[in-house]
Amino acid sequence: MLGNSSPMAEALKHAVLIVGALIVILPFYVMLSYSMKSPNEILTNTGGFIGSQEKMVDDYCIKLGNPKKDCYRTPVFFNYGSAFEKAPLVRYLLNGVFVTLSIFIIQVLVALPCAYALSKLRFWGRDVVFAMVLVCLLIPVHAIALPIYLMLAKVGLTNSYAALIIPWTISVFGIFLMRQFFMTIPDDLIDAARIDGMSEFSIVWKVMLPCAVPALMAFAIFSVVAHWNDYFWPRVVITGDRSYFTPPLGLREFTGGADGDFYGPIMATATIIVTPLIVAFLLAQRKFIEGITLSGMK
Amino acid sequence: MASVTIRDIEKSFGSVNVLNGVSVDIEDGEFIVLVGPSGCGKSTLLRIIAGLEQQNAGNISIADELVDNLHASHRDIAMVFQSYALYPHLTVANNISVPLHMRRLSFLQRLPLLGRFMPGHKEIMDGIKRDVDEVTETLGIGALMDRKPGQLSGGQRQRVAVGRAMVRHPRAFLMDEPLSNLDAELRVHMRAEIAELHRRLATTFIYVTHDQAEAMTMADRVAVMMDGDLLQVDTPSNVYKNPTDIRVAEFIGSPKINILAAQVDGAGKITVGDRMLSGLYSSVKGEDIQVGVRPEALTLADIKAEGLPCRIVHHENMGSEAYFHAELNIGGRVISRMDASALDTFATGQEASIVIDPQNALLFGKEGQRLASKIEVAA
Repeated sequence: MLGNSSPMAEALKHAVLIVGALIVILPFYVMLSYSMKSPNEILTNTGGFIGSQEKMVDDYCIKLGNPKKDCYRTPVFFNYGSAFEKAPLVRYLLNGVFVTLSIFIIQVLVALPCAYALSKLRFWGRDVVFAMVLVCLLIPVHAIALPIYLMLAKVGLTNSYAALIIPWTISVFGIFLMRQFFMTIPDDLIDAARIDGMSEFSIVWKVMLPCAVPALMAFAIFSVVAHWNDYFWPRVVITGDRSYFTPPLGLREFTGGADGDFYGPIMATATIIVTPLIVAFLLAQRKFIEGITLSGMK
Repeated sequence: MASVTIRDIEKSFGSVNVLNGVSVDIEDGEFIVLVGPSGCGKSTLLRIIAGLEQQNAGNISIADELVDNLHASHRDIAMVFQSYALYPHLTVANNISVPLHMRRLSFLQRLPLLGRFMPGHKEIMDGIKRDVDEVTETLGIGALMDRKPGQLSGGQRQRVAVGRAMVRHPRAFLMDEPLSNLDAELRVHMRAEIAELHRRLATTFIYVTHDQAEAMTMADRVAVMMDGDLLQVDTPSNVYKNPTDIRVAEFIGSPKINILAAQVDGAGKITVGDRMLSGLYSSVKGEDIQVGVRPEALTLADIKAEGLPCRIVHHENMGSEAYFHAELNIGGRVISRMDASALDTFATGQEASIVIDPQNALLFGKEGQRLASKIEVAA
């Protein structure tokens, strides 16, 4: 803590931070609140944070021809219940876990040897290759989405896990991040490993990987969060088969259609989707921040 | 254990020449120290011997066998780095056993999880453990086996690094400034420890340092390098007493040797300032030369004595001896090392005269090459 800032300046700093935090938190507050309220409370904006939880009538239940007395529901159970019933949300979540982890693992398998070569091996054209990596960082995903879709379609890979995973397996950002981290690892360590009899591949997996855990954590956040939350790419390549849906695609189940939007179940689904990320972040908060600042070494 | 032969090694990085044809024969079991100022190419030479760097020309042989095309791991040498280069994620025991794992276990036996089920795994691991225990016993680091390098002090890390080098009984040890990260006291202690280790192992040691004191105290032979050239390879006492080049004379010895301009007349008699050095004759005649005098060969005397008049500008009391810095009236500064009792007679600010001991004066030509001299005791 700096001792020389005045109370006024401190108060101002905190005010700015509080406003910033509120702006970030507000959408989550709305999401969580709506996920617990009845449609009527959502539309009239009443009921406070958790709603009155008065029994409400499930229109869909009546449409199915059930007597009205059987169709009373508590809003919070109705919202979360329909999130799991109307959409196979567990399946979507498992798809999400499988796809995100596969992407991350393959990205690491590719990025570590690349970063090692770019930072620690001397070969002709290394700087040019690295410059190409940097240029690739500038290309937006959406610019190349169509060609990639066409290629996948040509080989008949749309509507498959492969379509969700393969386009993301080479992460130039990952290569760049790991390369920058490897630059800070002393060359002596690698020379020592060579004299000890390790091959270059052994060095990557047995020396560089354990040293790079903080940087890998940072990369893991970026990669996992981006692909867990990705709506765009799954929407492009998963055109029909709902069994390949990832969690964000699950949100679509409740939008539009003749019945109008079901905000309650949508928000319940959204809450379920973000919860694993938030829990994971809270559990490993310290490690994550260490990773981002790359201060874990020494 | 093996001899190491270095033949005409040349190395350049881009347009910068780092080594210009260095040759030296290192005998089996010898402790040789490569010493020189930073940037003289000594570390590069060591890395070429290790196989971590490829020379542009010349050969390296270990035990009379050319190793130029051998990978570092197949040269059967061990290296201790300045930064110790311990694996930060492994315990001390694992750090030391890595070279044995890589050499004794097959690829399949090294596999994580599966390796331990491969035939022969347990016997080899037991053997490795025995060898590691033996090394840690020798180095007195048995109690640290389960710590990570981050939890060790500088001296302990240094021992672990030496242990990792020792454990596979290499043919030669290469050490790249292993003591320069330690504090002064520990450095002096480790100096003795490494020299003792060399005696016990009786293996070839090639040791790189920029600290001439380390070179003088530890080496069987000192190799002085400067600007990519090997200037002199000789025993510590010869390098000190009989330097072949003025740069060697200036680099070895602390405080530094005093260099004075001198003239030689037609008869070979040498004059410094207006004083003739009695009894000393130069092999070259009628030229300007340089005279090198070690601080202990310069004594202060009363201003009226036969010597070069000077003024004492500073004195340092080292306890058992004293250093006097003096400004000569003919220009130039010299340092004299005398017994501490001289402090009773001389002090900063005083006028005095400097007397050169001709027996211990070294003559160098204008280009710095050593000149022969002849001493004739005046009748």
